[in-house]
Amino acid sequence: MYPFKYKQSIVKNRWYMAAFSTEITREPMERTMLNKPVVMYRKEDGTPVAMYGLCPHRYLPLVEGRVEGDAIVCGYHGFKFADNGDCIDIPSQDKVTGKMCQPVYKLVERGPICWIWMGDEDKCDTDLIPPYDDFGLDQPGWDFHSANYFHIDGRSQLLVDNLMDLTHLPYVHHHVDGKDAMAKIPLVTEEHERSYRVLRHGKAPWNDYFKLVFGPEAQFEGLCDFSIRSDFYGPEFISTSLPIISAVPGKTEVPKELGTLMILHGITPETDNTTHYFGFSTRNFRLGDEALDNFQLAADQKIRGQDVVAINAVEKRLDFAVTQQRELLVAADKPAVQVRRKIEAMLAVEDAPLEEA
Amino acid sequence: MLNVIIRNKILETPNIASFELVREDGEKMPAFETGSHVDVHIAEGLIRQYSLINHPNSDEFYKIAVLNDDQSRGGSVALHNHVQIGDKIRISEPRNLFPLNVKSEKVMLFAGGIGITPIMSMAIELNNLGVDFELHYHTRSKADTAFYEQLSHCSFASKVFFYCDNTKEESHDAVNKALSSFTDNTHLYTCGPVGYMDYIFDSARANSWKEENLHKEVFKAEPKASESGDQAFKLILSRSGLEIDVAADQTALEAIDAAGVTVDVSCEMGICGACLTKVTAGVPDHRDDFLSDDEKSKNDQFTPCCSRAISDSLTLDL
Repeated sequence: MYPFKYKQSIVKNRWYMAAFSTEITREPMERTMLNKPVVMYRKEDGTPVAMYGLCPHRYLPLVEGRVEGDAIVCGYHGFKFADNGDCIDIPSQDKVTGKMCQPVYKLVERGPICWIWMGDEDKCDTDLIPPYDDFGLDQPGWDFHSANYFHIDGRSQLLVDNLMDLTHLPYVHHHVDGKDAMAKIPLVTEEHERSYRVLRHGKAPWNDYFKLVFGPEAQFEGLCDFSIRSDFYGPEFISTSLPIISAVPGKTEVPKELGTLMILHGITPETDNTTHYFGFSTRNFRLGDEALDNFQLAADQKIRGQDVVAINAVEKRLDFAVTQQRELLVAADKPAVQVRRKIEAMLAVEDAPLEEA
Repeated sequence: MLNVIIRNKILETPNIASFELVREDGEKMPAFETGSHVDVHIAEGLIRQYSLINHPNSDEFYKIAVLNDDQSRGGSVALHNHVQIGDKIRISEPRNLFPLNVKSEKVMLFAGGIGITPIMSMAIELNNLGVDFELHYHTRSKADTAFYEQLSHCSFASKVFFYCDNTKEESHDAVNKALSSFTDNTHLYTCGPVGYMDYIFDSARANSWKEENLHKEVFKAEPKASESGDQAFKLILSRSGLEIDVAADQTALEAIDAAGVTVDVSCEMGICGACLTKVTAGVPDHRDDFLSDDEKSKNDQFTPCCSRAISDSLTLDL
């Protein structure tokens, strides 16, 4: 399926973001991920559990049931499943017959995020979770803020493409300034140990946006050097940054208040054609400043909402569109094309079935 | 394009001179990967490619080595005889058509004569990275062995094997012995005269080496120059049975198009890979951003929208 030569575009062996930690409670919740309904809840000691979400007896979603101790009880005929998936009680008979067992998935809680592994068990390795210290998540001196969630009626690759080509900023997000600035800045790409990085370096004067983010007291004279950075950690996680200021005229060091704001994107395929989009941010300046938290949350929700509208509109007629015209790719698509190649290589390793020619 | 000054010229052997190049503006030299070469603009219309030699101060100066070749048609003779310390010349930015796989378990290096230049750079890099390797270096005589002193006294001297006064049988046996233990993660790199590289490849194949683990550097003898530095070359379209010329100021895609053969295109600048075409003979000059270094080094496909040829002609599956 577009844009791959494979029938589907979901890489199985990744840690996908299942939820913000605050979403998972003693009340069961359900989220379909990688085409499978998954029920999630917390045990008595707070450990989160992820289990295949439909009862094997009459297929009622387990989310309709309730949590009892560390187990979950189906809301139809009371079948009870332990947190390891074993069926431990069938109320209508004396013993548990058959080898009934509900699939469970490895769910790891790290700071504000729970990650799920739905791929091959022998490849499951928590070291493959995106490296938090790369983007200030759950790190000393950094704040986590503006968590928001969107459901996308579009395949996850459309969001990856969107994030790898930031020249869409002045058009999709037309309320943001800087149309000319973005259009002409050449891009640089770098291979890092854990990410494929796209950089744009430029110069900018003090402006209204800086004032909102950094506060009026951080104002400088002249032009600062800044870079816009995107890191692709995998189809499940991308970080983008707002301008990272690397030099200010007349100063030997960049003042602390002109810090770094990372905009982070968790991308989890719901089905082949729909996606969970988790957005959040981290920053290492104006820590605990609620006014900035609120401004950033509102700005993020607006911007991500605009991306979702665009992606939904693309998905609606995408299968038709690709039968009519060859996709036109341009200079700005270099990172997106390289990232597609990386994902295609991951699909090849997993022996994903090919699209029929 | 960089304007450089010849800072030093050393006669390494009676036939080989090395040159140290610094930027005229005093700026740092651009960083390069091991295996890279530069186009050296020796004189009007005289452009040659030379491999860059690794050394610890390569941000300060580049080093190349040039053989005064009887077969040469001008380039190396001009560098030897007419280019002196203090002279100003122009060179291109470094380009890498001979990338080294540093994730190899072991690397076997084979140099024939002046082919030592990129091979020695690879040895230095592998030694720095702690990757296991052997360097087998074939020359006509000890006097013709460039960098003999350096290589026999360096920190990895025990991994360097010289063949300068051996009999044919002796060196043949030694090559076979060196190639006898192939694993999937052992890579071979060779540079030297075409006949020498063919001999090394054939010996490796006879020892069950896989094709994808064999790498060689192909130098072009006599390129024809144009103003942009691009050269004309020939395309042989094997399925259409056509032979077409690509002019110096024309892209391969334009020439193919003009001949009435259709190639799928999209970005026309080496980004998207839509025009990727199979190459069955000849060596492309890859200029795209689509293929990885590994894919480029296989030389079995190229993007006609922006890439050209190092060999005089390319045979395409079109």
